Amino acid sequence: MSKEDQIPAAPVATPAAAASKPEKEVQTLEEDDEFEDFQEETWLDEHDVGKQDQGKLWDEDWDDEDVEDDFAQQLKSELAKVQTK
Amino acid sequence: MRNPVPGYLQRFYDSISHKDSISLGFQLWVANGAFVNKPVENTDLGLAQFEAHWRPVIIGYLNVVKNIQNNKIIEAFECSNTLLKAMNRIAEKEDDWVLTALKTVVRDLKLLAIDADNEVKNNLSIPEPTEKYIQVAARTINRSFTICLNDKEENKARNKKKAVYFFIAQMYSIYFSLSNYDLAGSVQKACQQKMNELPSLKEIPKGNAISYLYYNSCLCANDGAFEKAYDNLNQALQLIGGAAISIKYKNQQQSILLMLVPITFLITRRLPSQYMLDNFPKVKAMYGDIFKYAKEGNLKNFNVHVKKIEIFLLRKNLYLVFQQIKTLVICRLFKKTYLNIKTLPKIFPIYYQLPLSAFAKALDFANNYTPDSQKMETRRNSGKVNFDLDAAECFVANMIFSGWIKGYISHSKSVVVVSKSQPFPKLVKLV
Repeated sequence: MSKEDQIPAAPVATPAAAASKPEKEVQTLEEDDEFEDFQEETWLDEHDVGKQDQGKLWDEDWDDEDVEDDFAQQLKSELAKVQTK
Repeated sequence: MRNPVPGYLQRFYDSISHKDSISLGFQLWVANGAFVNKPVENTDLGLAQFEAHWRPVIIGYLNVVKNIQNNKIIEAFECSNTLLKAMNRIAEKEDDWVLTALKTVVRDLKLLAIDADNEVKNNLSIPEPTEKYIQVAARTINRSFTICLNDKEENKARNKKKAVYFFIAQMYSIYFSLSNYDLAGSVQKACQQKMNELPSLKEIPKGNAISYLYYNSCLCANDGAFEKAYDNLNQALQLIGGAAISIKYKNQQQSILLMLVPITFLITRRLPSQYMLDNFPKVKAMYGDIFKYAKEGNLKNFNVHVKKIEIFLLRKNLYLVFQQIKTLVICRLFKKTYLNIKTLPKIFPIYYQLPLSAFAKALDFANNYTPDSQKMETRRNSGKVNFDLDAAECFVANMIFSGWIKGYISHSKSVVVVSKSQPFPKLVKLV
């Protein structure tokens, strides 16, 4: 945190110093991935959260029976070589 | 230039005489220090109007600001620590109206401690202190926590216990950064004894509740209590907006999902949707490929990707989750083996009698998979193929025991006889 982050030019209630940090490179796995503090004490409704859009977060397709991918195809040709009595 | 300090003192005086919580918090916020547009040289500026216990607070704050302006970060930290000690003494006397200010001072102290520790790390001419500044800060914050936890105020609305969750989250975040889970555990213990006296999470500011739930889930994950972690993370996600992407708090939402994705998979087998991956780039970077390979049963690529994000997983206490997920990937591989066997009637005439050698073959193949079939062939011919029937039998036996495979093993014939109707039942829970 630099001096500038600490003291804004005007004493207005800007959010966290943390919030003004530039977006970090996503691919860097070594980066500091701390949970960001909430600076505001209260936010009550959707307006405060600033919701964008809504979609489905989860898929239920773990149990599918797909054997079309390259991995499954190669597996098949390996299995074809198994010697059965 | 006009001295701004008297104006500040007046605002401060008004805040405490009206018990204006928000205003006092603002007066003690480091970021509000820009009002001092020239260095505060003399802090002995008519403090006589204030009661004695407020004076160290004012002096402490002005010293923090002054040191930051002079770029003396370590001194600023020391003053901030003194300021919080002074605020703790205030908190012992006053009721809940001082909480906003107390929290503001705690947040600033934590940031300054991190900066001071970085300063020591980056500047070799500064002698290393006996302990990290963040540890010093943690002790002072722990005092704030204890004061609030033990507040005897009978009027619930005025009781400072409502800030306890905020302090727990702050201390957990510090202890986790120091990898000290014992200290975090002792905070948890102190709270459990008073749990019935604490307000519910619905009665406290949302941000405080979300941070608490997040850090608590990390502690649960560290203890291997993944169902509890799952529960905490889901509550946090609901509070921050659920499936709707929060513009303002997207980073926090992403942090929650980074924990939640593997744990959700472990508990419910649900996978992150494309919508989630598209909206949260870090979730995609961490888990996008892993779950694709997990679903394929592709052990090799799964292992390679786990290795890639190993440090992240260890830091987040998720490594063990992936060790458990690995068993599910093997089960998935066996299911793919079964599905393929059904299409090879010439080699496997009875589709529900699966030779263990087929599973051993599948394991060997999946552990050494390469997209280039040519290489696979070369490797096979070089004699490195390792059929381990015992390992395959052991995996299958465990899966039958866990209910992931319906069937039995004929050890003498080296065959797994599976259910004709539902050999791989859908599962909700892990053992």
